[in-house]
Amino acid sequence: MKNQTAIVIVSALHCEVKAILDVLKMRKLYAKPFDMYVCDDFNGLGELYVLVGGIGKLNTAAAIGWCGALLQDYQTAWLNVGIAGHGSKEIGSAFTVGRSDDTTLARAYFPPQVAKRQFPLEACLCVAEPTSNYPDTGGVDMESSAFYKVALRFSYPELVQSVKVVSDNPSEPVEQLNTQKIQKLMHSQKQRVLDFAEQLAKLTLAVACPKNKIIIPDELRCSHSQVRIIKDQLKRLALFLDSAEIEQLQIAVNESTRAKQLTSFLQSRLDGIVPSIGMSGDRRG
Amino acid sequence: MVDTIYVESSALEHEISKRVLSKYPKAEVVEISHYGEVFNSTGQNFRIQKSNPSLILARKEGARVISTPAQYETGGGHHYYFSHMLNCVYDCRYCFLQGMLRSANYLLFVNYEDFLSDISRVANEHIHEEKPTWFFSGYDCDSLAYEPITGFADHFVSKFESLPNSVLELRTKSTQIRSLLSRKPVDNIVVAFSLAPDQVAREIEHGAPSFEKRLKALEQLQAAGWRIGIRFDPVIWHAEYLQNYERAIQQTFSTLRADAIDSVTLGGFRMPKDFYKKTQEMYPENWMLNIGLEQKQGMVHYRADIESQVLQAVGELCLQHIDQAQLFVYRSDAS
Repeated sequence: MKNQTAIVIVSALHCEVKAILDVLKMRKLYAKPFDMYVCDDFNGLGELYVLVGGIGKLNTAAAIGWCGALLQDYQTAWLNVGIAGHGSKEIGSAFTVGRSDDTTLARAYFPPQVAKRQFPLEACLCVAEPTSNYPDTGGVDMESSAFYKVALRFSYPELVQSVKVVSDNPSEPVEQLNTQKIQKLMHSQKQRVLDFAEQLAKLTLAVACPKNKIIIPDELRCSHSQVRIIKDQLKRLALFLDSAEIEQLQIAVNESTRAKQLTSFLQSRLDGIVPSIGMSGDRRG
Repeated sequence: MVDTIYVESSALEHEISKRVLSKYPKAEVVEISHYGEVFNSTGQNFRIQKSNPSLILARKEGARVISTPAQYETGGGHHYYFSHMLNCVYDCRYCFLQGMLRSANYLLFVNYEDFLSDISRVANEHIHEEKPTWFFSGYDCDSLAYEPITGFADHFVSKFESLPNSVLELRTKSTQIRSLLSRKPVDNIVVAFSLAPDQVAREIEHGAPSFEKRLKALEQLQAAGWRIGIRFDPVIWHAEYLQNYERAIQQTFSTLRADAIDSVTLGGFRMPKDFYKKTQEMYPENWMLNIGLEQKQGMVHYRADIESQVLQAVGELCLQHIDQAQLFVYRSDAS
């Protein structure tokens, strides 16, 4: 578990996220290999990034892989935001992907729905080329299946979601789309998208790890397994100590020269603790 | 409030599915081929899902009635359990389900008729034995908490009434007893309540009714003539455990007729080590999961000295009110 959190909004095109970049006054962090923007404080819920990956599954996969590696020390949530065609929904309406299919994959994927819903659920079929061949029910796009496949390597399924705004349908096919139209469609949904992002950010915070309160000094000579044991003991002990006791314990840890002695000392401290109701509780998420 | 319901295609037209779906008119319904697509997919975070679980309606195929581990008996002959549902509306920090299951979504098996047919077959295998065959419900869910939605108890109690030499134990923390109180008590049904002192319940059993409410439900059931059981399992060790359990036990037996209680069971906190590891990683800040524990033979449980002390003390408190024959104590070293 990690103690820093970030939510990453992933889109294919700049025009799909311009409204969000503007409203959050986001700062450009990278231009290569992909455009990436940051909002350092998203409603007090951690950092928010916007990643523009380019059209199609390959670009999406590459962009998320790169960004995931950059943010490896963060507990991340990933939100794919973009346009999609749809067999029956009105242009400008939006949906959350509740079932992701891909013409090249045998099995459907069902993203777990935990965040408070802002949009109805729809299936979404991911295809390799723009198409006017709309599914009878559900949407069609060019990124969603790759988005899930790669983003799930960096976070929990509940924190990997996709919101699509309907940009074309059998009455207004994909050929009629242009940058301005996409920008306008996305603009009208920006607040609901950000509300959904906020829900995801809250869930992300709930599973972020509390920071270690007691640090193992670099001078202490110990093996990897000893470090693991000592860290575990310190985390447990910290739950039951007040700040003055933690300070005292940090001094004792700093003065330790041998790992074996330190683990014995910490274990004896743990064995002497009798918990009281109310000593610590779950951070309810 | 459930806002997403996944339904197996084969369960869509089942009467229980229709009943459940009618209770959630605003929920989004997603059709799936098999519940495993949603329930068993990898990487899910139980803690996150617990904040807003979805409901899955499915058919249970394969083994539906399973023998209980050897130690779990309450006076019957053979003991079996069955799970018409996986996961619970409550969020108890000691629950093994959070370590065992990949998903916190509620998985309801709607083919009650197949469970009952299997139960009937198993019961018939033991029909001539001296002691009745005991069937437990509520290992993998709370038997009554979802009753207004599922109608499970209502359905199964009627069928058990005519099942010879068999007992159904409904294990619960829920006060959803209306369906039971609305009918005549059935001799071969035991309603067993998990109890914990209110201080413990509030801190460890998130979302569950208070001690007083559970006791009130027990009182109503007993007054109506239902057989009842009491489960102080797990007994939660803490600095004030003796006072808290003493008060709870005193209150319990001054409210209920002790001689008419079917059984009282006690156990310490215990969990298979892999389930414990997953649970502790999910809730690293929870004190109960971080102190006084040891690992032996694939199980994590209270240190032997602690377990022995708490079970002895709470057992003695119970024996001030009930007979030894009514008390069953589950010890880690005996499993």
